[in-house]
Amino acid sequence: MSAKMQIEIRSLRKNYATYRRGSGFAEIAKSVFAREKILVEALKDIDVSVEEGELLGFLGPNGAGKSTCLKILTGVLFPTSGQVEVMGYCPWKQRKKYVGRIGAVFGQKSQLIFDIPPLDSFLMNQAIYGVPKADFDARLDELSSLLDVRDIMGQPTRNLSLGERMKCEFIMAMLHGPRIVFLDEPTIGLDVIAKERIRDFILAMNRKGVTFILTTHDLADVEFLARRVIVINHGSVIFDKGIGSLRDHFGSRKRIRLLSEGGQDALSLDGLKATDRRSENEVFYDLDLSACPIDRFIAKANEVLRIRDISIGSIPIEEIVKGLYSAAMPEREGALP
Amino acid sequence: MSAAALGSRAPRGSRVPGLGQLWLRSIRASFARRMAYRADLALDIAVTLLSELVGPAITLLIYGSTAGSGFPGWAMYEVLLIQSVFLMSRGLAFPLFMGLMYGVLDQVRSGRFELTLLRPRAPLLILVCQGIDPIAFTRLAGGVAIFAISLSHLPSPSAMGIAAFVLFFAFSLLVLFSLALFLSGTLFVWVGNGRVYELLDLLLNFAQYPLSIFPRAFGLALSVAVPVAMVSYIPASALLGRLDLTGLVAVPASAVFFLLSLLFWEKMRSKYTGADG
Repeated sequence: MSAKMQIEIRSLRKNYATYRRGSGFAEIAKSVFAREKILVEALKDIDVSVEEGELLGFLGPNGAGKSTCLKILTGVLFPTSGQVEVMGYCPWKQRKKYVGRIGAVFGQKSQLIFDIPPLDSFLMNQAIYGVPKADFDARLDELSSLLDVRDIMGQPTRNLSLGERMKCEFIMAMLHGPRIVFLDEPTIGLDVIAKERIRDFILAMNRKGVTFILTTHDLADVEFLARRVIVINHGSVIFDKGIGSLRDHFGSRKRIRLLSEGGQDALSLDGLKATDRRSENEVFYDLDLSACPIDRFIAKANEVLRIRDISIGSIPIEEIVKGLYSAAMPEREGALP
Repeated sequence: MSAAALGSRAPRGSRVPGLGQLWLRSIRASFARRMAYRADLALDIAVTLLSELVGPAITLLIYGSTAGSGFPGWAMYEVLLIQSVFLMSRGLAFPLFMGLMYGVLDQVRSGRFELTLLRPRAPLLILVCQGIDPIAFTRLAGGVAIFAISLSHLPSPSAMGIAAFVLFFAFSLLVLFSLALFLSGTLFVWVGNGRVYELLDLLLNFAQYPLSIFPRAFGLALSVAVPVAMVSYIPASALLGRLDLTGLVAVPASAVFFLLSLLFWEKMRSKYTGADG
């Protein structure tokens, strides 16, 4: 294993049993005595390596296996088979030693004590993690100033806004100086300003060498933060490359908005596909650059139309990820972009 | 602050020297939490005090109704002494560790137990600390008062009796902790089963009265199998100089009961599967 490698996952599998029953009265009554057991393959032979200091986006549709994988990585669940080594620890076998070196922020599970000020929760964590007072004071000073929460740390948590609370969740997760932080939907429900602040904070911590594993459905988080993206679906890794490769995953394409004097029916090129006709004059196109370079498109558009306005941008990442999710669902044929 | 600096002084596993600090911080946090809702606090104290005194009140009614009524072979103040020990034992157990039951109930149902597993401490320790409720010490007040009144109407206990009482009282707390472990352990599998409190009350009802009022086999079961007799009857009997062989058998039985409860709790904890995908 490379000296810089922090997380090594090999052939990770997790199966669990769950129960199925109908919603009718008879089926509910029957389920009291006998339930239909279902074996769920949550993870199927996952292989992933993460280097120290990475900022990794971990994506997948609901029920894809992300949470299960995250729970195994944090030592909360143990797998059916496979190997996981994080900073030299096996998370579920050396849980107590290991979790003292990681942090976690859950957008939907607060670690703060709801009825009392965040500062009291921070002090509880200091005692739980055994953080020396000098370290605690220095980190709290730096983190609270970075997140601009000094003035609100003494107010009851229940009186704080969601954004303020989330900033305090980050302090909770970072006070013991973790080397790896797992983020699960850290910006869920936040306004744009709070999101920006949180993202800046993550980047600042990452620049100092902290590794972040980011699980989210907010693809703007991924675009803004992640340098590498792993997409998991049906328990398998279906994509593991840099964010740039994700954009080009279905070929190098551009999204073009073209506003012209007249109708655009005459505009026809290989690799050009109209995706949205807002009006006669305003049409959105997807252009496959391998079939038609951008300069040829512009030349042709100039030739057949009188252009009033044009904007050329990347395909929205949401569409690419949606395509990836759909591609991994055999039952949804034809869903590829 | 580099990554190395961030992580260089992180704790190395469980740090026993920090246990006192953790305990004190838990008390402080719990106190602050309870103080946040003062009306609830006042009502809670009043209701708890009144409900805890139901047992002794029934005893007073039974003994005061007609001459000769009561528990055969037991004077009123002897029965009140048993019940006061029961109240004192609960008065210590509830603020110190019985909150564990609600902690498991709530955290397993909501999936927040994962946050407890993310702490570099034993989950049981975290749950006990989170469940500390200093306000519940008010339960102790009624017990101590009835204990003092009962003792003042009874012959002075011997030094041996007092020593045995202290020892058995410690075992009383151990049995209550074991019950909390057994009942909360079931909650990892029977998620959200709020009836555990009723089960606890049902079991502890047997601890409030002299063992001799129950059939012999049942009394033996209450001393050995599920040693709730140790909660109050046996410590009070030691103080009254009425301890018999059953009491001595209950000591190792309570120790075994505790060990089994610990094993059971850990086994059940390992079955935790989380609340979402």
